[in-house]
Amino acid sequence: MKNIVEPANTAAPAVKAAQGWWVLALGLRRAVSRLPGLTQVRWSRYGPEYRDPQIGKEYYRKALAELTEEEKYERKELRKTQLIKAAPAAKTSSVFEDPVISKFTNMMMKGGNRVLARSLMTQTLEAVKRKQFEKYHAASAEEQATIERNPYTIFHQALKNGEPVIGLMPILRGGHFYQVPVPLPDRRRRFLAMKWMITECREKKHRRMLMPEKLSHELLEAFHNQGPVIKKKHDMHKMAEANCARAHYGWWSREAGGSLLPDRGSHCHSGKPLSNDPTSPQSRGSSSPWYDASTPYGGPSHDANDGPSSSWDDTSGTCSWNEATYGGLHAKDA
Amino acid sequence: MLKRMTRLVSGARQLDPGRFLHGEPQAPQSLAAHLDNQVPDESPRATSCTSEDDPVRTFNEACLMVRKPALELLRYLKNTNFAHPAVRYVLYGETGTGKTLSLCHVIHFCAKQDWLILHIPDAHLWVKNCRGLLQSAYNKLRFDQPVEASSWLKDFQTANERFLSQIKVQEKYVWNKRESTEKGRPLGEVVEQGLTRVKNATDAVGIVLKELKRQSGSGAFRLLVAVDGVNALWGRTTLRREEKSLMAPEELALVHGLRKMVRNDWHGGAIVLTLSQTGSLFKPRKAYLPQELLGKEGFDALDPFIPILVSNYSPEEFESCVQYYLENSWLQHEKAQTEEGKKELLFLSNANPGQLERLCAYL
Repeated sequence: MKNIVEPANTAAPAVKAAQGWWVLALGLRRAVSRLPGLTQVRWSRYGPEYRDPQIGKEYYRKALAELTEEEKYERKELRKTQLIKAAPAAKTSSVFEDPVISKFTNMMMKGGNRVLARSLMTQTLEAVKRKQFEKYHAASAEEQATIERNPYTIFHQALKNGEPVIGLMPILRGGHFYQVPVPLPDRRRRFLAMKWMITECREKKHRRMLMPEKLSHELLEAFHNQGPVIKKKHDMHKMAEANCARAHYGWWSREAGGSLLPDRGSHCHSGKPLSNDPTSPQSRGSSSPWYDASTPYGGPSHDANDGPSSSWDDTSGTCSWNEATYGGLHAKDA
Repeated sequence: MLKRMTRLVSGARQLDPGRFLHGEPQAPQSLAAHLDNQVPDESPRATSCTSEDDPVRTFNEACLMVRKPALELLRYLKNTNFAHPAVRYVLYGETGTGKTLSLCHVIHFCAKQDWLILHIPDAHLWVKNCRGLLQSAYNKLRFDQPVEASSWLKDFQTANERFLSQIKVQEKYVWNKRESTEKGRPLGEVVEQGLTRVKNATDAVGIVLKELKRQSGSGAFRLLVAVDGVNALWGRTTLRREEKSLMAPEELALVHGLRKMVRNDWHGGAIVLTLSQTGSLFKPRKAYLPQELLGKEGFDALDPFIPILVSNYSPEEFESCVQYYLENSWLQHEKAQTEEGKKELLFLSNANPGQLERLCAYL
């Protein structure tokens, strides 16, 4: 790597020219159409020539005869010259591995103590399972069919139930910050659900109660669409609904032809309550893959597939927003 | 350590109430004759235990896996000659292999055969974290443990109620100026006295042990002494005197009495012991052999004994355990039912029963 000393987050956003050179010099991975003034907060030390490692027993166990031509070429030739990133220590080729659980464990981790976080996670799953088994044995035959005993389905469903459909973003207009409803990309929604769950369990529990106990309780409540995490999701939806009149402040509303959603305008006028099921907003960033950690959260995420957003309004203060201020303000949402 | 409890089958057949194995926090179900005496190797293999408080809650039943060490021990017990001095059997093995549950199996068998069970669930609990130590009234040099003694007396009472009225004490015991137990009174009175006057609980335990040892040869009953974690009796304690100096185990009256009990100078029963590193003090984690855990003093005290090794699951036992979990839907992960999943479980647990149980708990 080049001998660059300063990391990304100390670079002052005002020094755009130096940044531009610096970004090119590092050879950062994504050749995206960068908006001017946009710095990357999360970046990778790997250049674009590095490819992801193959973690999976099926790939390596394939006999030479079964491989297709490209795979054979890949195996024999590319391996000599291909640069491969190091596989993260937390990723295994175990059949029981689940990326969502891994992500949740990482978010629960404090001080890099993944052993402790993982043990808390397993204890939580065990607690969920035991509670459900108790309920199962106490229930009658008809009810037994409805009781879900798999802790993994409960976990996934609980997080899915806790995902908000629409979020809020502070937009600077006329010297004031207004909370504007914004469609959230998938990964942001997943992140918010997990973040709310963890924060809830850390803060709102009795001092002597252990995390697995509290977390299992919250997961079961969220699974049944009750509890504080779901309430938080509904609160966010209500806030977005309340501020729906400001939806046109954001640049995405202009791109979509003046309204955030086809029926959003009618909602604001008619006063219909917002339905809380995740059908309406089209999330722009939904095409991005799950582990897209390097692309910064920038509202509608700009992949290479998107055309240049020409309707970007330069006159108002919105376009000169940058990650430094935005990242700090957006913490309000989480 | 008896954190893993015997699971009793809540079957239709009811035996005498009060005939359950003490040491369990809740044992509402009475024993059922699920485990046959003449059980061959292809008997229905049920589960191993879980380290939870109430195992009955998870599966609505309680089962043990019948394994070779337990069967061997049962065969020896069936062929005991009660005229000879009591034979000592020592179950040893690595952590999590099933020593405690084998002991429970043996206790269950003997209870069904109407033996008098003297079961200490965990001897390590008597040498660490004890509060309220008192100087013994009987012998000034020793120390009493009222809390441990009274809880043990309670369990002993519930387990052996039938015998407490039959066995009579053979000498007079004076508790204090006003209370005494005359000669010929049933042993239950001594136990009652120990329970009501907690200060005398340790002495009551000592009396019970002495009387049982004396009378076991008479043939009225057969005595089984079962101690889990017997290496605690010859190890070190973490208890301190008032002067903050560490105590040796022989200064504890309970330990002193128990040491006398596991000597083979009586007849009319058997002694089954288990070594345990899990609760032990100042012993390395990998130690499991009798010489390592007992030390020279303990080994000489227990010598001669019959060692019985308890090892990890064989492939059939592992398969049977996983099948049991699958039948009871304990393994909920969809990949756990596949061959790949089972191979991975075998690899991760190395067929160690304890480790397998902890893995399957969250899968």
